[in-house]
Amino acid sequence: MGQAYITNLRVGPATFRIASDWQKPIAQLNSLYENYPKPDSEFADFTVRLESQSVWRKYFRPTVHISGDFWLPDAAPLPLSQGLLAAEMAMNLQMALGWRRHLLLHASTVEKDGKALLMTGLSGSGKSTLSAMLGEKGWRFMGDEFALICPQTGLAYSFPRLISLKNEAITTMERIMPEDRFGPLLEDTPKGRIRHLVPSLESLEASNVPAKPAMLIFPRFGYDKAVREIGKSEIFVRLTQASTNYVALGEAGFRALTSFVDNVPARAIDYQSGDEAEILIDQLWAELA
Amino acid sequence: MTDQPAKNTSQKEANGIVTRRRALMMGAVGASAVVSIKPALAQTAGSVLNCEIPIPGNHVSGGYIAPDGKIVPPDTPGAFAPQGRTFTGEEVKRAIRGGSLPGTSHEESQAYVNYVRRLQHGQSGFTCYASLQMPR
Amino acid sequence: MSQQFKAANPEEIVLHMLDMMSLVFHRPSGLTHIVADPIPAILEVMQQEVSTPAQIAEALENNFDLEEGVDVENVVLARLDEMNALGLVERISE
Repeated sequence: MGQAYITNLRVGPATFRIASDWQKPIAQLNSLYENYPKPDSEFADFTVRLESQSVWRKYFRPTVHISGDFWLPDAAPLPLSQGLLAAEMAMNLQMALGWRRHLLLHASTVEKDGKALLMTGLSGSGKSTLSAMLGEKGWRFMGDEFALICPQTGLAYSFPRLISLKNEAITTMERIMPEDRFGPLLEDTPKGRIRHLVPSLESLEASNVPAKPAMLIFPRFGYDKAVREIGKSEIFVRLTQASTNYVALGEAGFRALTSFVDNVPARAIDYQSGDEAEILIDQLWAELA
Repeated sequence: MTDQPAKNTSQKEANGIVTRRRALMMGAVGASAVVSIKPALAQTAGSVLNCEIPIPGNHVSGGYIAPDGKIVPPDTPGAFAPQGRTFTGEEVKRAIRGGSLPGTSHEESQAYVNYVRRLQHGQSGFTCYASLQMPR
Repeated sequence: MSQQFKAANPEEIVLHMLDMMSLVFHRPSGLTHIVADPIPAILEVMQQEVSTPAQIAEALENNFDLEEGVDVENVVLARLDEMNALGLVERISE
């Protein structure tokens, strides 16, 4: 069954062809990705499909099944109202399983003076919200989910997808951002309430400009303010766990990650608020970067 | 073994200059010393029982360790002063199974074991502790 | 204990030291192993020679400060078995 509605998107170095059985998710994507650089050609790195289960289910209680070049069995379908989320999850999956041109780390990235700050941690650590916040406070936003490290140069490249804000983070950013930077509010998703934030125009226009990794932070939200050093062995192991393609890259991945760990100072920080985190980060950046 | 008295000391003398040899932890026969990085998050070739867990770690400054493993202010009743000791993963694993950490009383050992159980990402010893949890 | 072992060819292994542990990238398998003491020391004293666990134990005793009461030869053999399974050393048939 060929999908009727199509769009082509570029996010950093990766291009996606999104094909959908419904118009609405495509219209939403086109609107939110309006200021992104366009793909150079018709050829896409990845194809993503948003499919209906049957002709009947296309119209009656429509649910979106995610498919594409790379897929996982047991991926649960989403209601059409969350089609935008389905498209985002599908694009993430393509990167996580299929991208080989850079070492991928689950980390958010912001840049200042040509140097990159990476923040890595589990869901709920706050890395995504912190990157959104810093992106509006003098830093260039480079990504909230994937950091791309070039194996040859060690530089970090931008993957500035729509920032996926969840639950309380939505309110935090709604207070400081104009309404036209946001996508629709999605309720009752598998991850709670979600609202997408479009990165700033400046960060999108600079999305092919790399930066040299200069500091790595392991943030932890909801704990009393603290800063800790971490041993290099610990950092290396945690980064392999945070990488979806470390093993697939073989020796290039090994050299890229050892070089990263050798050269980039790292700290774990605990914080109770975005303001507190920003103060800690500024202090550490002045000291270490 | 040949008769060389210098062999069993930790210092060698050459030209009047004393040089120390690096200390090497041999570990135990049954203690694996390799963890292999695998694509799936939870797979390891073997837990690194030769790794070390400092008790307490670098995130505790001046705190004492309560019986439930929490860090509490110094001189809290029932809490144990940190001796700044390091234990191997092997020793901690045995203690978790019901033994005692070497050189500690039973109560002290329990407090230290509970402390280890509370270790979080970013705190010294967490990777060692995490690797203890992974099946071979 | 007269089993003989030889370390993998230098071209097959990339060794990288971190603080508490070392990393070994094994080119033939593409796997990265995190190794703790005494493995780096064993590889260091083996060089490219064919050795028995006893010879390696003696070299370790000569070059490092070891704890008292450790059965060095048996620990070395256990580690060599581990390394053999991963291709970091090879057991030579007698």
